[in-house]
Amino acid sequence: MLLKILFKNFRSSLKDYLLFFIHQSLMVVIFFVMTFFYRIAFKVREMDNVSSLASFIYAAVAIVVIITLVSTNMNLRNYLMIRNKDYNFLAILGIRPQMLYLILCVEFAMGSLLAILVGLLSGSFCVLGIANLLTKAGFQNDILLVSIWNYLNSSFIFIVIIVICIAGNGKYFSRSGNKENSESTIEWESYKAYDLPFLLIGCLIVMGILVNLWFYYSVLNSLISMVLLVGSACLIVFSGSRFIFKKMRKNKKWYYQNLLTSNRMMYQFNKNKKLLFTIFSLNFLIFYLMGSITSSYGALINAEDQESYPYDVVAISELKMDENVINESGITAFETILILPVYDSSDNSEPHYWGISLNSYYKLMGKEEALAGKEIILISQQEGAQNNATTAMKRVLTIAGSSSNYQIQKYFQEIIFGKISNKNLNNIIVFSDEEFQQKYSDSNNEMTLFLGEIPMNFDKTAFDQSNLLVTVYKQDLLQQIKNENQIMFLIFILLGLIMMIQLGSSLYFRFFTDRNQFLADARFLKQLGMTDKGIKKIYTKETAMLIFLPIVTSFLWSGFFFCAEMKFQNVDFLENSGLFMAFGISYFLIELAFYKILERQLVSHVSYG
Amino acid sequence: MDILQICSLKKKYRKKISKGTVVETVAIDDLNFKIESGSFISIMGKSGCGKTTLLKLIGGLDTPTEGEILYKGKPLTKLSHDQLAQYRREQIGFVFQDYNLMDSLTIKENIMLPMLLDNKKLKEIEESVMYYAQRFGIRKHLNKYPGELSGGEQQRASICRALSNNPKLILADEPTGNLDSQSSKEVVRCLKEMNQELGKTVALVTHDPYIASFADEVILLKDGIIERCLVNHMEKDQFFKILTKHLNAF
Repeated sequence: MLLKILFKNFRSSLKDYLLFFIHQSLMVVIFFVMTFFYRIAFKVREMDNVSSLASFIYAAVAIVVIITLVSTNMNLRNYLMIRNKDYNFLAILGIRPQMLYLILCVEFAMGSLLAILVGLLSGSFCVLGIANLLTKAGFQNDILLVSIWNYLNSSFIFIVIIVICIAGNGKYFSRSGNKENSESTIEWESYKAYDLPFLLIGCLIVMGILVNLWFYYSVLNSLISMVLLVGSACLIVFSGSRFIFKKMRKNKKWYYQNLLTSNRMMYQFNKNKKLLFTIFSLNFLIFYLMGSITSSYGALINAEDQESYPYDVVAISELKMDENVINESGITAFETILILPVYDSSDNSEPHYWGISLNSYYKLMGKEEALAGKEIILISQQEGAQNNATTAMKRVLTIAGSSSNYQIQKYFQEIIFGKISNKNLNNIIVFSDEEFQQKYSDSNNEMTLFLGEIPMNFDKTAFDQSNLLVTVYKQDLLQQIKNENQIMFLIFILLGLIMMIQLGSSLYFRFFTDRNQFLADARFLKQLGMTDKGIKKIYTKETAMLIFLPIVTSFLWSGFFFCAEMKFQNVDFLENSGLFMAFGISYFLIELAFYKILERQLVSHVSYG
Repeated sequence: MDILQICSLKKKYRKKISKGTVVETVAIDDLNFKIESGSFISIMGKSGCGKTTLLKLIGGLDTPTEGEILYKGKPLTKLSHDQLAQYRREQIGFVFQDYNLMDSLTIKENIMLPMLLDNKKLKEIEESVMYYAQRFGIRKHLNKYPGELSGGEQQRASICRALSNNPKLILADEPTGNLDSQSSKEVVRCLKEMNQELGKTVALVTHDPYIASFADEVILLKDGIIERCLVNHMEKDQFFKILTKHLNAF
C-alpha cells in the first residue's frame, strides 16, 4: 500500500520532474560528445604530439564537469523545494527522514537511468553528425570512432555527479520541517558598515587587474585575472546597488513613491545572490567563449587565406648560410632572407629586435606592392621591455632541437604566415635595403630564413635531417591549424551550449520554485487594491532584473577583459567583429525569448491570482 | 442607510474532473441581505458553506455567477478591473487569517502601502500611520519586520493597514484563526473599537461563537444559503450562549 502511495505521489509530480529529466538527458548527451572529443585529443596527442589541443580538450571536459556539478546541485535543491510539500506530507504520515531520502534516491535512480538511455541514444546521433563534419574537414576516420569506452565513461561521469549531488543534499532530510522554503527577511540593514568598503575593494581589484596585466602578461595571470574580474563585478554590483539603494532610501519621497518596485527588486536581489553570481559567471564565460569562437573562426579563415601564400616550406638556420650551402645539401629553389639581430644600446647581451630588408619583406609577404616610406617599422618594442613575442622569437631562433617543436611551429605560423603585418607584434624591424646592407656587413650573428617551394622529387626526410633549427611545411601546418581550430570551434560551441542550458535551467527552476510565492504576493497586492497592470509591471521588472542584470554586467566586464587581452596578448577579437556581433545579437535574442516565456508564464497567472 | 445590498447572489464553480465530465459546485445560492452602514455583522457556518466566497464577492475579488452586489447603491458587476481595484483601495479594508504582511517591508511600510498605492501625500500618510499605530499599540514595532512580531501584533498591524486608507467597510476573514485566546480577544477588541469609535462597517467571517458574539448581527450560512439571521439585542454573554445553542443544532 505504501509503495502504491509513493508511486502515486511520484506520478503526480512527474510534471515537475520532467524539467529535471530533460536537463539530465542533455547533460548525458554533452558528456557523451565530450568523451568523443577527449578520445580524439588522446589520439591526436599520440599521433602528432599536439599537446596544447589535448590540454585544451581536457580543460574543456573539466569545465563541463564542474559546471554540470554546480548547476545539477542547484537544480536538485530547487526540485527539493518543489517537492517540499510532498515530503512534509509523507513525514506527517509517519515516514522516517531516512525513508524519505531513500524515496528521493529511488526517484532519481529511475530518472537518471532513463536519462542515461535517452542521452546516450541522442548523443550517438550528435556524435555521428560531428564525425561527418570532421571527416569532411580532413580528419582521418580511424580517430573518429566511438567505442564502448565513450558510453561507459559518459554514463560513469553522470552517475558520479548525481551521486555527489544526492549525497550532498542528504542533510535536507535531517532538518526538522524542511525549512528550505521559508522566506528570509531582508538583510540590508545589518550590512550598514560594509557596503562602501566592499564597493571600494571591488573597484580596487579591477584597477589592480589592469595594472597587473599592463606590466606582466601571462596565461596564468590572465586566468587569475578572469576569476578576480568575476569576483570584483559581483562585489561592485551587490555592494554598489545596496549602497546606492540605501542612499536613495534617505530621499523619502522617491523611496515611498517606488516602495514596491525598489523594495521587491532589492529583496529578490538579496534572496538570489548565489543564483545571480552563477548566472553572472556563466554569462561572462559565454561572452568570453563568443570571443574565442570568433577568434578560432578567424584562424580558420586565415588558414584558408594562407593557402595562396607562394612558399611551401619555411626553414630557419642559426648559421650564416647562403643558397649554395642549401643547394649542396640537395635542396633547391629557396629564397633566403637574412635576419639581423638588433641590439639595444644599453644591453648587448641579447638582441631586442630582429631586422630584415625591405626586399626580404616583399619576399616574405609574397606581395608585389611597394611600401610607403624609407624605413618601415612593423614593430617597435618598448625600451627594455621583454614581452611574450620577443621571448618566443628568441626561442625560435636560438633553441635547436626544441622539445616543444609544436609551439615553435605555431609561433612561426603566427609570424610568417599570418600576423607579420600585425602592428602589435613587437620584434621585427624592416630596414631599407641600403641600411640593411650597411648593418649586414658589420654583423656576424645573423639568422637565415629560407622560403621555398616543394619540388616534385622533394625528400622531406633528408631535408629534416639537415642542419636547420626549424622546418615548417605549409600544407602540414595549415592542415594542423585547420584541424585544431575546427575541433576548438566545435568545442567552444558545445561549451557555449552547455552554459546556456545550465543558465536557462537554473533560472527556470528558480522561477518555477518561486511561482507560488509570486502568485500569493500578487493575490495580496490585488486585495490591497493594486491593479493587474501595476502588479504585472512589478513582476516584469523583477524578471527582467534577474535575467538582464547579469547579462549587462557580464557584457561590460567581458568587454573590459577583451580590451585587456587585445592590448596585452596581441589577440584581435575584433578581427571578425561581424561574426562576434552576430553571436552577440543571437544570444541576446535567445535571452529575450527566454525572458518573454518566463514573464508570460508568471504574469498570465496574475489575472487569476 | 444600507452600505451593501446583496440581491439574489449566486456563485457556482465548474470543475473538469475528467474528459467530458464537469462537476458544478454551488458555493452561494440565491443570497439576499443588507448591511447597514456602521454595523458589525458576523458570518458563521461550517467549512465549505460559502463564507469566504461571499467575502471575496463583496471585496470584488471574484465575480458572481448571478445576482448583484450593490455598494452604496452601485452594482459591483458593472465596474471594470481598474474600478474594482480602486473600490478595494478606497472603500474596503481587508484583514486576513494569515495577516498578509509583506516580509520584505517594515511594519510601517506595510501600513503605508494602501495609502501609497492611492498616491496620498507623504505627510498625511505618516500622520495616519502614527495615529493607528498608537491607537492599536504597535508604535514601538513600526521599524521591525513582520517576522520579528508575534501573531497578535502582526494581526494588529494588519488591522492598522486595513484602516489606513480610511475605508468604509472592513472585511475580516477568520482574523483570529491563527491566534491564541488572549491575542484573539485583543484583535476582536480592536475590531469592535473600529466599529464603535471610528464608525466603520465590519463584516467578519469566523468559526468562533465567542468572537461572533461581539457582532450586532450574525448570519448563519449553510450550503450557500442563509439558514438563520440572529440580531444581537442582549448582553454579550447571553448572545454567546444563544449562538452556541444554534450552532450545536446546526
